[in-house]
Amino acid sequence: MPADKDPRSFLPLAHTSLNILLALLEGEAHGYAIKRSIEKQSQNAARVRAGTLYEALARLARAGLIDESEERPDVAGGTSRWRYYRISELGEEVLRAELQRLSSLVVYARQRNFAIEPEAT
Amino acid sequence: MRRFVIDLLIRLYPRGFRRTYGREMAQFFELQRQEDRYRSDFGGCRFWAELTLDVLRDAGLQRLRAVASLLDRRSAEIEPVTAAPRPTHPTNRGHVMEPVFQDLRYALRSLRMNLAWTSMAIVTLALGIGATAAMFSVVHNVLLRPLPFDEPDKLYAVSGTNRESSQIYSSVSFPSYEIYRENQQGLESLEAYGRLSMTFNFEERAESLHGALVTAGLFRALGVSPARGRGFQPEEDHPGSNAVVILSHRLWQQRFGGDPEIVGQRFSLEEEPYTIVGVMPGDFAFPDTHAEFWLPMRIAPRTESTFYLRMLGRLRDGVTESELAARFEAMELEMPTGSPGETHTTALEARSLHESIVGQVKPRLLIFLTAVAAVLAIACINVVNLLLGRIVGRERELALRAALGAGRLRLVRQLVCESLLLSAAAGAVGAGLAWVLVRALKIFGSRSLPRLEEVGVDTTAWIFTFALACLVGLVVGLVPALRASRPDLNSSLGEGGRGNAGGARHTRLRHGLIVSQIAVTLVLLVSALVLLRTFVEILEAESGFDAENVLMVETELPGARYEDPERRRTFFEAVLERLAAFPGVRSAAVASSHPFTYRSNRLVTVDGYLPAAGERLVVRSFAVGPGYFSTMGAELRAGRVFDTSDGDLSMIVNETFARRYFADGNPIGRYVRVGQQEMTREVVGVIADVRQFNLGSEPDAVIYLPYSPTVWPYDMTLLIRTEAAPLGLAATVRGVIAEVDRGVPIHRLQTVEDYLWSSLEAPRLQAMLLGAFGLAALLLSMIGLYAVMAYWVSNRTPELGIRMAIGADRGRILRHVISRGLGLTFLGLAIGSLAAVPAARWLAASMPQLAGVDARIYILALAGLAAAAFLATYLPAKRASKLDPVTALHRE
Repeated sequence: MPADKDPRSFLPLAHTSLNILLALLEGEAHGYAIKRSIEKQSQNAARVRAGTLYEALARLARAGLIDESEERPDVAGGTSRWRYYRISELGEEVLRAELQRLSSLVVYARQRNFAIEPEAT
Repeated sequence: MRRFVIDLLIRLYPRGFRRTYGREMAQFFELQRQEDRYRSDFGGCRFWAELTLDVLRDAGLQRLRAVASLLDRRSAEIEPVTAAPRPTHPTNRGHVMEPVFQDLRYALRSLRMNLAWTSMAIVTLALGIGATAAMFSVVHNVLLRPLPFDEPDKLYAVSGTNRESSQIYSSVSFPSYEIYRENQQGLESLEAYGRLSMTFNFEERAESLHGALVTAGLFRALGVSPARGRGFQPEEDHPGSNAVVILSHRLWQQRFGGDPEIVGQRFSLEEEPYTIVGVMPGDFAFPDTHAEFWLPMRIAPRTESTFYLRMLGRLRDGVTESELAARFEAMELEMPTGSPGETHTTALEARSLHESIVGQVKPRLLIFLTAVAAVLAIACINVVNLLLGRIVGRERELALRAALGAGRLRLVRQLVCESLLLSAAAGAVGAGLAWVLVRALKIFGSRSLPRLEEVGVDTTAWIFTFALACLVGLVVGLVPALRASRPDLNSSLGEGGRGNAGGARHTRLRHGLIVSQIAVTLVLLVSALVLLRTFVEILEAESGFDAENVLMVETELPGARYEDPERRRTFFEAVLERLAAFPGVRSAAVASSHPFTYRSNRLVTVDGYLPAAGERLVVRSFAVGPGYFSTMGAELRAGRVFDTSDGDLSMIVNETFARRYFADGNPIGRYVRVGQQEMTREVVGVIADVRQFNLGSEPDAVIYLPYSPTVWPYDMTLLIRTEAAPLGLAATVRGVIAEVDRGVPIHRLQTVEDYLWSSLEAPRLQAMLLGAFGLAALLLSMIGLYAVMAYWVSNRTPELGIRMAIGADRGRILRHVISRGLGLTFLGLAIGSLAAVPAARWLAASMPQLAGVDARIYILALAGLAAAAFLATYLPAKRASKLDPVTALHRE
């Protein structure tokens, strides 16, 4: 696996990918749970389309940023039909790198006196 | 259904993706559907709309990306000029299909290069394919698919025939049925059924249910047995046997919650307890889809003058259809006519059950199918023209490839690949369109087409669509491909490579195509106008009454409690009295049914009228209460309307009755005997004909009897004339009826105008469909004409430049181009006029009650088409006349 890859080679992360990695910080989750979590992150501002989500999941899995979990939790009447995903070590590094990149952008903006916080009303 | 749609949507994704994530996405969508945001009133609609759009976008993007990556990967291998013979590519790919893939990829690329052109061609073909596929689904399901019974081709609908007059009695009385049943040979058994509706009390609310009376052997004859419980026993057909009922699957599910212990339970119909002995399977729909319950013949009226039973039977093994017909025809049965003491000699006649259900609509459906095929042909011609135009532009490229060694086959294959790709895309779009169209047809045509509820776009229809798309692709591609694959190398490559030297060669073909397109369009337009005019004529016909602001309310009194006629009278009088007191109600009356349908056929004997041999005077009869004629706005032609003194000794007839049965047309004071009644009635008035049944048909002979206990039926229609919009009173009317008796159900409450409008469904649907096809044809052929003329102009720019240089003014150029376009149009119109005459004749032969085809219709169609053609040629002509001669000459 591309564990020795430079995390920075994945940057910048696509928006959906970033959201997925963030959502997986809470632990293993299946597709629909990831969608809900992304919507919660954005306070329901974001809408996640199933097609986009699964395409992104497939891409992240191929790149080794997430793993598909081997076990499936038991549910009533057999094992779940959902695939569960978790963030890989590489994924965490990439996420960290991306967040650093983003925060350096924030710092850059602040240094130029650009008010980021919404004005109190 | 939900699952099915979701599966269908998921199918839009590329296969690999679908295999991996399809199942999971289905679950995903299910959960998504339950989200709060879709909980509101239109949440369901919103969910499906969003889901469809999302999937279309995602799946489309994924597929595009897949195609793009495929092309990227292979781009090194496919040179645009792929003429090099295969041996120079001793490939390691080695797949036999490789050249085809190569063609496909190349075709895809060349189609992508001109997206506007490609989408235009796809939309044109999709319209044709979609409409044809939709019509095919209907025809296939209605006409071709066997009925959903066991060995349905052995089932026959049976009618009585009069041996002297050859009259056909499709409905017979119970005593007649029994005689037929005992005497028939050739069928395993002769069974009978009749529709009825009954009141059913469910949780304090009275509701009217449609059902059927059936003989005990009917289900066996159809080859269907109940899904639960048992069928009827022969002894249950007899009066006085136990009251038993079989429920439809739907009624069992909806009203009894699918209770597994249903068999043996009791429920009450018309306040009589019935024991449920069985439940039919979910797909059983007989006599039609509205049947919710079946009763044996126990309660069937057994009088000789009530004709309400239809007969059917299953062919006995070893008997052929012609033997059955011969046996039936040879019968000689003395049958009561319904009049006391009279008999006539009858035989039987059998018609396949399928034919008897769909026979009437067959010619109509075939006309629609032909019309839709004509639209498809026009669409194909358009695309052929588009392809020809494109190929002319690519002649140099093709010549170059031929010169480099590409064989003719290779060139043809290449071009056909393009058209196949086009038609495949069009097929996909068209399939979606077909699905939408079938849905729409089910909404607009549910009353005028039988078996429509069974229609869906099923596997056969998908296969048909696919095959049709392939065929269209081949036909559309082959014509131009065969032409183009013989490029004239010298002229194409020489002459400074202007690239359109071969144009003239194709011009004749393209113009010929335009001419045929215009001809077909004219035929369609004439047919559409005939149907449209029929519809308008029906609308404008005198209906014989004033339908505006009349509300009709059909009710039915539960039998047991209202057995006493006096109670029935009291009920209606109480309702009428209360209604009349409401402001906004101008007048109210009650009648056995509203004026445009009939419930009872009566046999009459007219004093002084000698019937022809075997003629039965069956007329429609209405029982009407006081104020009926004024409430309906009917016109009195002679005599007077009923007053309170009229009882069992008076009657009113309509104009048709007066004309038909009284030589001098004046029936006032003459006598008529109704049914088997002892006394005769005096005719006191003649009322203008009211068009019964539906406005499209000729009026029947009708008698009106004043209500009296003997003619006062259980089901009555309240007719209420109002000051303003009648539906505003709907709640009031419901309230009044409930106030008088909470247990009386309302079958139907609507305005008479609405009722009439829906009774016009068949002619409206016909006019609408053919009108749509005609418009589509007009639009497509005008686009075709425009494209051809525009191309012709651009091809002739140098010539036009010379003409201008030597003195032709702009007006002259304009006229030159327009006359060319109109020349083509007039040729098409001439051919079309010749074809339209037999087409209109066929139409008239297939659809009775059609308005005549006269010169006005032809002139309108010709003028309309010519005007549209003028417009289609004017635009290119205008552009030609604005050419700058210098620039035009430079093109040379």
